[in-house]
Order: sequence, then C-alpha cells, then structure tokens
Amino acid sequence: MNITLDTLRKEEEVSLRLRSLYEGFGYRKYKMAKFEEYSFYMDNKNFLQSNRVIAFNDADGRLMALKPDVTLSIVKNTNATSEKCEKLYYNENVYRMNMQGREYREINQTGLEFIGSITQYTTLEVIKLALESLKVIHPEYILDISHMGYVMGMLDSLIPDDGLKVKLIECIRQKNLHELEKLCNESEIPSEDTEKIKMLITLSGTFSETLEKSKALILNDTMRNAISELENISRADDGSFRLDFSIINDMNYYNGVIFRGYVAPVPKAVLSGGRYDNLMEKMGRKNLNALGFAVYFDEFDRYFKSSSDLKTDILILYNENTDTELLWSRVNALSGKYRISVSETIPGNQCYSTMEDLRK
Amino acid sequence: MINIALPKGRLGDKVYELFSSIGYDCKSIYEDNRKLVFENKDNGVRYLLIKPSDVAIYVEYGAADIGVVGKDVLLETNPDVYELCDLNLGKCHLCVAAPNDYVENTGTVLRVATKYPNVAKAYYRSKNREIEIIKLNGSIELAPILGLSDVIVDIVETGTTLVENNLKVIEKVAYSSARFIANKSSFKFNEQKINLMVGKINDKNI
Repeated sequence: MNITLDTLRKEEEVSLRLRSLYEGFGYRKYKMAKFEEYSFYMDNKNFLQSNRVIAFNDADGRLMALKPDVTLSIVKNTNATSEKCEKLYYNENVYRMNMQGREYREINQTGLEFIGSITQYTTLEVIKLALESLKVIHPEYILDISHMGYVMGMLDSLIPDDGLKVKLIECIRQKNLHELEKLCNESEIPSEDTEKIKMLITLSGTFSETLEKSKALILNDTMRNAISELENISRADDGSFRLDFSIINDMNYYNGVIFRGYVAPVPKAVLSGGRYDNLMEKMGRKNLNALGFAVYFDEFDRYFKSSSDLKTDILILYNENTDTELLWSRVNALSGKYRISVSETIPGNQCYSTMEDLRK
Repeated sequence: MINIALPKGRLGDKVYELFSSIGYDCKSIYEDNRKLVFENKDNGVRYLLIKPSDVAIYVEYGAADIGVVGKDVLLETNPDVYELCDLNLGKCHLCVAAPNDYVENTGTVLRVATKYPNVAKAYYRSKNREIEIIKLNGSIELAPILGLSDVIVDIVETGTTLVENNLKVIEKVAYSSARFIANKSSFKFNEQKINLMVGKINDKNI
C-alpha cells in the first residue's frame, strides 16, 4: 500500500499521523459546526489574531460567522468540570485573513485541548504531544517555551504604568533592546530595573541552561512558581526545547506556560499553544483549567514538495485501433503496482517516467 | 548559508560597507550592477538587493533570513519579525509638513498626502483628528503646493527638499533609522550565527 501513502500530500499525511498520536493518548475527536454567532467573536476579538471574520445572515436573519478559530467554540461548549476532565482534538477548517491582510483563506488546522483540572502530569503530557507533533512534521524542529507568569511577574513589579507595559511587551516580542532601553529612559525607570527587563530578551537558549540563568532574576512568588512549573516541563526535553521569554500572548486569555513550535523548512511557527485559564474564567468557567495547542497546516504544500507530485510512472497511450482486450489486461497488470495514466493523447499537466505505446 | 536582504540604493551601500567591515564581505557585489543576488560561499552569506519597502516582506516570508530596513517601513507595515539592533544609519524623522504660510483649520477634515497611510492614520487617531488620506508613491512635497492636500506625512532627513519647496515641518511623528531584522523561524535555527553578527555590529557601532 506504499503508493497510497506516497500519494498523500504532506498536509494529509501529517493530519493522519497526528490523529493516531492523539488517539493513542486518549484524546477524542470533536467535530464542530461550521458557523458561530458573529457577536460571539466580537466579544472575544482579542483572542483572535485578527478581528476580521466572514459574516453572513442565516435563515432566521441572525448574523453568523464562518469560524476563524476553534478553541473559543470548544471552550464555550465544554462539558468539563473540575471532577470530570475533557480531552479532545479537532481537525477543522478555519477562515482567516492571510499575512498581508488582503484576502480570506481557508486554513486546515488540527489542535488538541485539555480542559479540567491540570496537574504537573497533564502539562507534561500536552507538552510531550506538542513535541511529538513537531517530530511528525519534520526531523529538524524546535519547541520554544515561555511562561506568562515569569514575564508578567517581572513587568508587574517593575512597571506600574500599564500604557508603558504594553509598549515594552511589544519590544520584548520583537527582541528589540534599543527601543526598550529608549522607552525605559524616557519614563525614568531606574537603570537596574531596565537591565532586568533587557535580560528577559537576552535570556534565550537551550532550556535547562537558560532556566538556571533565569532563576537569578526572580523578584516575587509569581516568578518563582513560573520557574518551578518550567522545571517540571524540562522532563520532556529531548534537546529541542528552548526557553525564550519573547513569546508573550494576550494576558487576558493566557496564563502559565506558553509555547511555539518551529520546523526548519517553514518560515513561521507551525504550532502554537499554552495554558488559558483566564479565557475559561472570562467564559464563566472559573473553576476550570485549560491547556492546548494548534498545528497550522496552511502552507505545508508550499514548503514540503512531494516527490510524487504530478508524476506518473507509466503512461499508456492507445487509439481507436488498439485492441481493448490487450489494453484492459495491461491496465490490470500494472495498476496497483505503479502509478499509471491511460490516455489517447499525452496529458499536458503530467510528467511520466516511461511510456507504453499501444497505438496502432 | 544566510540570506541577507539589503535595501537597494544609498542606504544599502552603507550597510554593505558595515557588514563587509565585520567579516561578511562579498566582492562580487561590486562587479555587476544588474545582478540582484551575490554570494560568498567562504563566509556563508548571500546578499539580495531589494526595493527598500519590500525588505520586510522578504524577511517575514522567510525568503531572506535577515535584512536591513528603515524603521519607517517597519512602522508602516508592522511585520512579524525580530528587530535585533539599530544600525544608526539613514537617520531621519517621519514628520508632518505643510506650506510655510499654513495655518490649520481645525473645523474641517484634514487632507493628508503620504506614502505612509498606516502611520498617518495611527498618528491622527491618537490625536482624535478626522483626516482623509491620499496615498501617493513619490514627490509627496508637490501635493500641498498644488492644493491636493493640506499637509503631508513623509520622511525628513536634512529638510532641504522641504525648504526648496517652501514647506516646513510642523510636527514630528516618529524617529527612524536602519534596523537589523530577522525572520523568527530562521532566527531559531541560526541563533548563534545571527547573534554573532548582531554582537559584531553593536561593537562597531559603539
């Protein structure tokens, strides 16, 4: 059955392998409706990467939207309680603006969510599954890990002004030391505090080594807890973990550990996730924790060129004088073992390795 | 091999001089003026000469690993990249400029001609002023002279062009200079190489 597997596009192959990976750890597939009420997204637009969604009126005149995101819908409808957790994964199409913000795209996305009460073990399990998901995509991968508690713990204790905090977060995200220093000087932040925030940016590298270094900057209990959570995660490190505090997600939704996955051929993150208890709280589920991630497939076909693309092993040509019996027996003999294409003329959109000419 | 996107033109020449002085030279760049790609296998760099306003796009999409681009372009396009250091080259300000005898009529919609519609919009939104943007691609100074717009938002380096066209700076919007940017994914997989480069640039700049 090798031919069948070879025929799969990268996206399809990864999707199938991820499914078996997640099912193997007891996560169940969750199939969702395509639409959601428009107002639901507007209430939570900061959670989305872009607030532009495709909206339309349904039969009752309600304003609906094509889903730009799956996590929100899962959280809204979850049956989980603190005693009964929910472990699920999904494979859905979502509709978002492309990078340049010029047009909508249909993006195939797979994700995994754990909702319930999260223990050290569950965190480790989800991180491990994120790591395994990257392995499925490409052998050269990196899982970048950060912790909202560590970053916000430092900023909250050093920077009282919320407006400045927002600007500094932007600098940290861009690893922009020069702009950060300028902003701190303008706002008369003491230089030793500025140095500490600058360290947040420069602290990045292999996980265990950087984790040791980041202990020196602990200012309060929030940061101390963050470090001990990160220490727990280091159990899953296979050498591809990196600690990088420049990953900062929206604090209205995320708390705790957050992470992004990269593979060498793709120029942007292919996996993104984290702990989002704050979103649960916003949705009125204060007693629940949640942790999950999504894998983005949208550009795999561009970066992983399949060798079998557009390729036929044997092209069989025939014409009206060809003996149909002979043609039929050749087709039966070859199909299943080779990729064949039977045609009266040479198809324009295919390459082929050999040609069998049965024309008379 | 590291792909470096350089802005074509005067700024690109200065940046190349800087990079070449810290060990990333590529002699072939002087040979042929039509080529857009220059490679030096010995020190593992490939220079791509790109229109300045497109550099950030090449880096964001990963066609180049790193690049040099004006802060003005970054402010306008807001790409998802790391901004690793300030090269202190190509220094200028994004300014609002108007004819010498201009007095703002705050009772009407302000017409702004600019190459930087997003910067202009954000600036006037922060002042809560209603404006109408006219996007132009060059010779912005002409717009207020001919009455096409009330003011312009543009980069001002020395101010000579403004003076020659009887214009003056009325407000400064932002400071700009050349910045060293990196694709986020490329940075992860080439962190040592890129950090080494940034370190050398910072040493040189002090």
